[in-house]
Amino acid sequence: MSTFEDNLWSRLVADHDDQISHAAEAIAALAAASGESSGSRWRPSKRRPSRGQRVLASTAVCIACLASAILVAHTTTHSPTAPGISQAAFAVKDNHDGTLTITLHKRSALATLNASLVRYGLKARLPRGVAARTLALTANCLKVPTLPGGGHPAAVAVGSPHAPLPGNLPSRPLKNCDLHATS
Amino acid sequence: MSGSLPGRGECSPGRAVRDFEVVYRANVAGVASFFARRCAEPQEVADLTSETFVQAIGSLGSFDPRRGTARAWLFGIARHVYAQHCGRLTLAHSGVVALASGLRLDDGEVEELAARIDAQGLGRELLTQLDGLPELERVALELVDLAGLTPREAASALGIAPGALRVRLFRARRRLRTGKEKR
Repeated sequence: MSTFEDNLWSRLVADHDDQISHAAEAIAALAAASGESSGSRWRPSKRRPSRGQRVLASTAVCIACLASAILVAHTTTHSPTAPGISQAAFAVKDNHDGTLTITLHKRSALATLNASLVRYGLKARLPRGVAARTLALTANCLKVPTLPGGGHPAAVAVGSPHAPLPGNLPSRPLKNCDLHATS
Repeated sequence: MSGSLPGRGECSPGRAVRDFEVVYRANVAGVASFFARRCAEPQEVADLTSETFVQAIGSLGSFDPRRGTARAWLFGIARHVYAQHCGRLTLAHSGVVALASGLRLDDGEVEELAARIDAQGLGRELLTQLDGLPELERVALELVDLAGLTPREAASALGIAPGALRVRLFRARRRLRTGKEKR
């Protein structure tokens, strides 16, 4: 094992020990799958949504904003994990009106921000060509749809391309709900 | 490896770290080489390798063993990380944003990564020869013939069916042969 690989492992454990520890079951599956390089049988995902489902999923994108606001019960400031990124690289704030305000002070912290947003099923994207160094970002989902029977879903999430979602909900990257700079 | 894997009821935080280390050590060299074929700077290779594993940790819950192996999953993330990196490079070249370095490398690590970049010279040359091919064909050939993934793993990493991957691979190899014969 090389010095770089050893040092990188030490940094990852130091910075992400909590995340790793809390994903024991997923890691067990990951480790099991790492031994199946040739034996595993590829299957198309049964949850891959059809075109119609994807249209429905785009509606769920907005619902996800509400869900994430519910999930983030308190204003949370996450400590960035990558070395070289300062303490307040980003913050996630619940506005209690169905929106979140995500403030990203350093573009280099985007990956770390997204790592922290994964638990809410959200993924932040920066619009290209934004010059501001400090960006106050607000999810572009101010209208909160209700379910046909009334009320709001308790746990709808929008996941990464690899993400299976809780409750077998459709998975879709947050393409239509990109975050926009407001300052 | 599979003999040491935990059962479902044996997922403890310490075990999670050990299991993830197994996955990390089995794949870090391959991921670093993937970036070494694309980047000339040791710092870039280090940052992108680190970012791949940070993003992997952030999306551990999204890993679905039915869709492929851990290696395929990590290479899928690595590909995504590189695409993000290219986006940031575009912004940096246009003066919109300054690129930040994440990891602080000591001289030994820099030297080691520089050697890895040199060692990937042939692979880089091959990628250059394939420059005119569609990206999917190029990456299919790289993942199978250079990174050593099985066609099924490469298909999983690229999010396509194995049959489609084999077609891409066949086309890429044929074009490579044709190009050599012409020269």
